Amino acid sequence: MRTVSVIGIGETKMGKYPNLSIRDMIKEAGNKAITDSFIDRKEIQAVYVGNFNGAYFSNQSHIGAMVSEVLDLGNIPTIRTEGACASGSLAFRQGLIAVMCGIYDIVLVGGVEMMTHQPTEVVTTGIASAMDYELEAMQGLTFPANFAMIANRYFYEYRNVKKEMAICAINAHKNACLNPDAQMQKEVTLEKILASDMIADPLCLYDCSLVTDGAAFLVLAAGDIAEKVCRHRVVDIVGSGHAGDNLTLYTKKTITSFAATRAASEQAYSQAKLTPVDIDFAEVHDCFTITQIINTEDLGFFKHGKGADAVAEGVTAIDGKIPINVSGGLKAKGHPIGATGISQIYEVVTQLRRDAGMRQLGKTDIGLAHNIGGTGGTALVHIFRGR
Amino acid sequence: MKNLKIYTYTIIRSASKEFKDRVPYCSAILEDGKGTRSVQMLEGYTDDKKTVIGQKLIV
Repeated sequence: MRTVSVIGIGETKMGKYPNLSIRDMIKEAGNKAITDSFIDRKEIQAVYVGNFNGAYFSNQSHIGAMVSEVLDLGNIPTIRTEGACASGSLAFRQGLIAVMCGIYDIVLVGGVEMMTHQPTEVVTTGIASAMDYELEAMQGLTFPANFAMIANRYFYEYRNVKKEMAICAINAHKNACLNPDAQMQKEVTLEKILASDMIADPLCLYDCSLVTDGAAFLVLAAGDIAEKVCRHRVVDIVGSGHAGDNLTLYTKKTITSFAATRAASEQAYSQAKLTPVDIDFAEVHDCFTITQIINTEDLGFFKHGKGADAVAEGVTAIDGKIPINVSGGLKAKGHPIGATGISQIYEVVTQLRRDAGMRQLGKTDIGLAHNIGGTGGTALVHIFRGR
Repeated sequence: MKNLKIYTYTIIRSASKEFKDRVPYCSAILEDGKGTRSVQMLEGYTDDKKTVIGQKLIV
């Protein structure tokens, strides 16, 4: 298997764009990634694009062919991947595998989602299709509700971490203020969070990630090609893990830890010959604040039940020992579902290139991106190293 | 099913299209004596009712 590198990155500013279309988002982010890679677009041999629910939110499927048309890529093969909130990382991994195996030398991977034009209950319904519709959604469950049940169980098994969940939100908002591509560039206080509307007890408004329009794309190339063409620090993908679990939450063995994340991270660490202490920083899937805490435990940064202590001690803050979601995360940078996994990798590569401006971390040689779909039915972990 | 207990629960205040007229309501994961779980919307929830994990359900 050969080394694969990220040679080009591009994303839209995350936000609310009532006057833009899926095409517009693809055009902006895709062209940025191609320009950033310094290759001719004719050298791109295949496209992998994540999109969760364009058919429901925008009456649009067949996004792969749209990418090819909008970016003028000709008759190359394209495919759309779907794995709920992990759709983007699935696209990334399919592109990675194809280059790693030598099927292609250069591919474009990306993700796109337009959601904000729909009213909240339509967005909630569309997102709920990522759980079991009959067994869960028709019992009144929503995604906030599923993660609220996870939070209540976590409080029962360990301790009440409502305050630490709020600190996750405070940190995310603070970090997003330093990220020009973030949707929510506004600091928030503990008092305001705790006084915000309850969505599904114990999750209040500020425990939930954002509804976002956005797109992100990356150009991947074989490592030897990257060495020749890349005009940035070359970023190699040194570990890739992908694992699954039951679709329904209630049939999972434990709901306060995601087996798919644990399995995917074991694969990625083992491939990279690294352990959690080697990771300089990480972008983890904070669809809800409780999820961030659980993920940092599943990824091995902290013991189970101790993730909240680390948050309270400042370990995960931008100036902490293992900064989590310096981009602002899903919580404040934004969560354009199909694009999220790619947007997380965009941040990791930006940090490794030392191009992150105001939010640039000190030592950034090894970064990790973690993306889950649904309530942990799909999980992907990727580890990156700057050359 | 017998011996049903609340494994975890939430009170939903922002719902999907189908359920938005029913908020607030309580949905829970229930566990029977053998450890088998199921999901159920619990009828008759009001905010003055206390719900806790481990609570037994009268079916």
